[in-house]
Amino acid sequence: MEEPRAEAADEELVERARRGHARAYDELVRRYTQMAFRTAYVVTGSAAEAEDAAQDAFVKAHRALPRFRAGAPFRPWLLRIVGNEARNRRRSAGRRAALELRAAAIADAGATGGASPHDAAEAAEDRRTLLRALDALPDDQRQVVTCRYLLQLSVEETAAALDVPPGTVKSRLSRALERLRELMEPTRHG
Amino acid sequence: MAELERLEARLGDLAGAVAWPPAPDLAAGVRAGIAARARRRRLRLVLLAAALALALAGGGALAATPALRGAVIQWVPGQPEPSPSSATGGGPGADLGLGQRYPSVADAERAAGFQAVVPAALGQPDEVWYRSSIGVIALVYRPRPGLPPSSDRRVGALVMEARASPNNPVFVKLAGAGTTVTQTTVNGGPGFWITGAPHGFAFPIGAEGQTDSFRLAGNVLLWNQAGLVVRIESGLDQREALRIAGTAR
Repeated sequence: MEEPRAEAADEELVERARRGHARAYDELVRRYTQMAFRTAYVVTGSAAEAEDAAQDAFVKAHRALPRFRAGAPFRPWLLRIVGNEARNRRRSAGRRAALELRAAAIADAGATGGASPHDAAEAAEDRRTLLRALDALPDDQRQVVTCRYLLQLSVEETAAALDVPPGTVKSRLSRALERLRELMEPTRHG
Repeated sequence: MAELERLEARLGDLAGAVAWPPAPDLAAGVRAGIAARARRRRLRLVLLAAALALALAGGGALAATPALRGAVIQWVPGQPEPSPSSATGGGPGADLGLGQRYPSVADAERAAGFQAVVPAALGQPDEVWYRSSIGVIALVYRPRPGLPPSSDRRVGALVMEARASPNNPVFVKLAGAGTTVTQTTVNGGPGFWITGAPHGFAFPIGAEGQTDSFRLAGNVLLWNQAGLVVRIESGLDQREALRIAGTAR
């Protein structure tokens, strides 16, 4: 993720926001919009619902600021609210979150670090294969892998976003990686 | 094992190559949502105050608390919401809107024009306050062994008292889901033990029944004694709160 992990600055912004400084909260929203939106997208599988979930999560987080424990990290606290909001929306929609992640098109060799067109095409195909395998995982495993590796959340942040204990994140990751490896097998030897 | 590590490395590489849907600009929507919520909250307080004023006008204000003078327990759907933290410095009394600080109970009594009841079991209060606009004396006791912090971590017990007028409540409770209100007797007078989920607490002011200082309160024992309405807010259980109230003279 592009957002900086500036916990000290977050702490200061949270404290100012708690005292009613609207601009401080605006800054927190700006800083974590991308992370919140993508996390909600992983859970809902819909960009429109992810947008609504992330926005409502920020409003609810603002309301809950007086109960935020001073000195605690803001990111996992926010992610828990985002995850809950996204799950509620997904439950209301009553469907599986069909996440369709795509690998970004790589237009020129420069973006591949100077690789040959052949190598670049192979790398792109490799990414597409990995994404297809990821999409074939059961929901709970796919979510944990996506949060942990594609959103680059910590185990604790992943646990907060998915509302499971950190130990469950680790065990699901382990099962998911094993399953991914199996899914990739035919491709690798094919 | 090495295969799994390679897989993890490939997933790590993939992080920068995923085409996520573009993140929207949420700032304006969030600001609008926060403002709408604040408007709803203000409206809710106005409606509650209006209900209180209506009840007062009809002489039925005490229907919710039939045996108690000087206080109203109003049931509200759901859970009352807290106002933003009032920790603005200046000590708990200043932050809780208790009025003006006095050096002693006797000084506050002179200002109030009535004699306060003081729970002997709590010893001397750490702070004494009197809010003249509503006629409430407040005694603040800081936490100490045997007196755990209340919902405000700086306060072990907060005793508030005022003349108990049958038609003019000075304490308004907004009890919602998860709050339990139990009728009890304290020093021979009627009382209520309010516990469970924090409940809303406000002073009514003005002829239209406006409220101010709306906040959440923890465990509260509320009763009539010596022509007063007295409340003890603390982190104590009912038994201990009743024991302390029993020493109020």
